[in-house]
Amino acid sequence: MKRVFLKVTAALLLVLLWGCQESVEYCPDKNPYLYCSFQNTEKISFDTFTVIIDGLSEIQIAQNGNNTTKSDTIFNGSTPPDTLLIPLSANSNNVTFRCMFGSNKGDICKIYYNSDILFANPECGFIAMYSIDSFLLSTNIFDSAYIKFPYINDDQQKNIEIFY
Amino acid sequence: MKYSISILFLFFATISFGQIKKYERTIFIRPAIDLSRFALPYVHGYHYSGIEFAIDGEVYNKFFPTIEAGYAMVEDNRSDYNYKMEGNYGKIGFNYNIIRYRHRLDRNLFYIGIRYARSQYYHIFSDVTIANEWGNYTFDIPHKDLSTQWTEGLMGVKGEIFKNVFLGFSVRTKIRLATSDFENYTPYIIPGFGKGDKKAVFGVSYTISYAIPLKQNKIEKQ
Repeated sequence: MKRVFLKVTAALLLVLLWGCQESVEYCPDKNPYLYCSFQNTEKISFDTFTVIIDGLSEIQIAQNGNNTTKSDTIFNGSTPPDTLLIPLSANSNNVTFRCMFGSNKGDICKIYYNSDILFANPECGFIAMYSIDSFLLSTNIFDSAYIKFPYINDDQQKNIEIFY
Repeated sequence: MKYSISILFLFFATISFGQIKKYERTIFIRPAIDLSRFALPYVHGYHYSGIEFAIDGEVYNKFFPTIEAGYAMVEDNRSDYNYKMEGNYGKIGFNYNIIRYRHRLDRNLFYIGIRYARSQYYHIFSDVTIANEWGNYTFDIPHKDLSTQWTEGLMGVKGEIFKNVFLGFSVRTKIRLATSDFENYTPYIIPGFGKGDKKAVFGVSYTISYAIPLKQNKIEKQ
C-alpha cells in the first residue's frame, strides 16, 4: 500500500513539474511607431529638407536600415529619409507632420488613427494598439500616398508610403 | 440560500445512506484546508492572499462527493498602474477512489475526480499611465464585476497520517468554459482558476483534513 502511495505521489510530482514550467511571455512594444516611408520616384533632390512633427522636438528616422533619433530636423543637401518613425498618442486621433523642401515649398500630411489600450498580463502591462483610419496629404512636391499596412505594431512594417 | 441548505442536506444524507447499507463503515465528513494557498504569496511577484476549504464524504467506498470554496485577493502597485482584484469561488464534484479497500478501516485514497467551478470577482485598474514622446496619458479603469465558469479534471492521493487526520495532494487540469467579457483588461488571475489570460491551466492543492465521524460503528475483531 505504501509503495503504491509513494509511486502515485512521485507520478503526481512529475506531472506538477511539467505543468509548472512557465512559458516565456512575449511582450509587444508598448508604444509602436507609425512607419511612413518616402519613395523618390522622380529622383529629385533639394538644397535642404526639413521635417517637423507638430508638438515634438525630436524625430526618429530610419536611413539605410538604421533607426536614429534626430533633434535637428533639417536634412541638408539631401532628400527625405527612407522612413519617418512617428510616435502616436493614445489620447489623440491624429498626428500631423510638415515637410519643407528648400525654403519656399512644403507639404503637410495629417494622419487619422484609432487607438485602443489593452492590458495584456502582469509581465507586459498595458499596450497601446493603433490602426490608421485615413490621411490627408498636400501635393506640392509629394505626388501621392497610400496606406500599405493599417495596423501599427512592432514588426517595423511600412504603414504609409509617400511618393514624390 | 434555502436551496443550498437542502442540497447540502441531500448531499450528506446520500453519503450516510449509502454507507450504512452496504459496508457498515464509519460514516464521516471530512473538512479540509488547502495549504498550497498559503505558499502562493511567495510564488507570485505581487501581493496575493487567498484561502480554500473543502469538504467531502464517502459513498460506497468509491465515490467521494466534494464541495470546495475559496477566496482570493490580489493587489499590485506599480509605477505605471495600480491593480486590485478580489473574489470568491465554489466547486462541486466528486472523486473516484481507485484503491480497493480490503479492510473496513482502510481510508487512504488514490483518486481521480471532476469538478464544475464558478467564481465571482471584480477588478480595478487605477492610475494607468501610458508614457511616450507625447508625454503621460493617465486614466482609470473603473470597478468591473466578472464571473467565470470552468471544469477541472484531477488526480490525487490522500493518506491518513494520524487517526482521522489526512494529508492530501492533487494535480488538476482546469479548462475554462465561459467567462465575462474582459473588454481589453484581462484580470491577473481568476479566483480558483489561475492566470486570467489562459484558457487552460494546471493547478495543485495540498490539503490537510480531519474526518469527523458522524456514526461510529463498532470495530469487530478480524
